[in-house]
Amino acid sequence: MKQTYEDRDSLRRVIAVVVLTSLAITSIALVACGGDESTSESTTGAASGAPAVSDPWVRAAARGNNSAAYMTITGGAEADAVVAAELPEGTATEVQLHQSSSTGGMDGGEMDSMMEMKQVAEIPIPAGGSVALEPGGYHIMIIGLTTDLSAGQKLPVTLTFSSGDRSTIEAEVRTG
Amino acid sequence: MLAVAALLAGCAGEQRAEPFAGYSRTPIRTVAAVSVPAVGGDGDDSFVAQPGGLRLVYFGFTSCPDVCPTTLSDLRRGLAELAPEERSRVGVDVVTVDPARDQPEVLDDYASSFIEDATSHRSDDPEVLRTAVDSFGANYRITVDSNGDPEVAHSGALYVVDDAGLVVLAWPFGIPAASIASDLERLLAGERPSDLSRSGGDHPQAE
Ligand SMILES: [Cu+2]
Repeated sequence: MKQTYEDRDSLRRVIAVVVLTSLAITSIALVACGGDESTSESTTGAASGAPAVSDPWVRAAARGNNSAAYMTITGGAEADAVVAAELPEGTATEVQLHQSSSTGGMDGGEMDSMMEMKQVAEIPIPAGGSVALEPGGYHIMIIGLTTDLSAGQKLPVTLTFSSGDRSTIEAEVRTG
Repeated sequence: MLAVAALLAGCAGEQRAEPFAGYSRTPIRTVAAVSVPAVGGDGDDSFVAQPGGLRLVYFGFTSCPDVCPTTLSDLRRGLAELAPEERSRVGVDVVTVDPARDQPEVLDDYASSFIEDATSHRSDDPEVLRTAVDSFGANYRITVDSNGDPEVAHSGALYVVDDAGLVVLAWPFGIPAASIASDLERLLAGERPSDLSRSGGDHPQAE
């Protein structure tokens, strides 16, 4: 039994290393692909311990509606946070950091729980860990689309971290 | 490991049906008398399914960018897994909990952008909406944040109503599309969560 657990642990470690390595590579590749002035402020890179972003996507929605952006952000050696997100001009009226969470009631009880959504000042990224921006949790809230977001499109999302670093990633628009 | 295996074997030995992915309530809720006006006028105001069919009812709002689209997209994918005959017996209803901002056309466009044949429901009368929400065991709350913008909280569940107006199952937020499909297939075949069935070999409940 003990042997099995140890094997599993070391396997997990190997997987984690592979995932982290591929995250770092992806992030470098994405930053490199950005190639416009919005990334020039970025001083990120795995070497500086800046957060790496993986699997960024934005929900397809029509002009006038709201949408949300999701991704996984893996931190460097020190704790960090996303303090702002921006989209290219002409995409939306406003972009905010949000968190959805469950509140009140109990599913199957007298009254079911509710989902609520609040604006947050920052999305914390734990040191050496990662934070998932995912449906029902943290997300980048896109308010009042001034253009259609259709599946397959790429949308640059610029994140500002508490360190002051900025990084622009290309998020894929999906029907979600 | 051995203990777990034994437990699992024990469960199988009881010959209980595999549980549904969704949850059910005891006593079961009825929404047979509940209605919220259907947008467009050609839809059914009530939530009772056609004979042998099911209605899937969701309480949401159109400026919801995260929770509602997630569930409605997963629902669309779940419905796509059904055989055409099964799919034809399932109706989808979207009820807005934010009628002040969700004008009829906006609401209808939103609902049908996820599920083409969805019926949207909307009432300006808060009592009509509250009665409907309560009957399902759902909930919603609209408050104003520090910027003066409305903040809407609402149950993330999807409710399944049968042809007698009984809420036979509910799926919580985050239910995978595949679970929606497999629960629907069983419900459409006439199976019900074991705590709801009055026949079928279950021991009579003491309470
Ligand atoms: Cu939001």
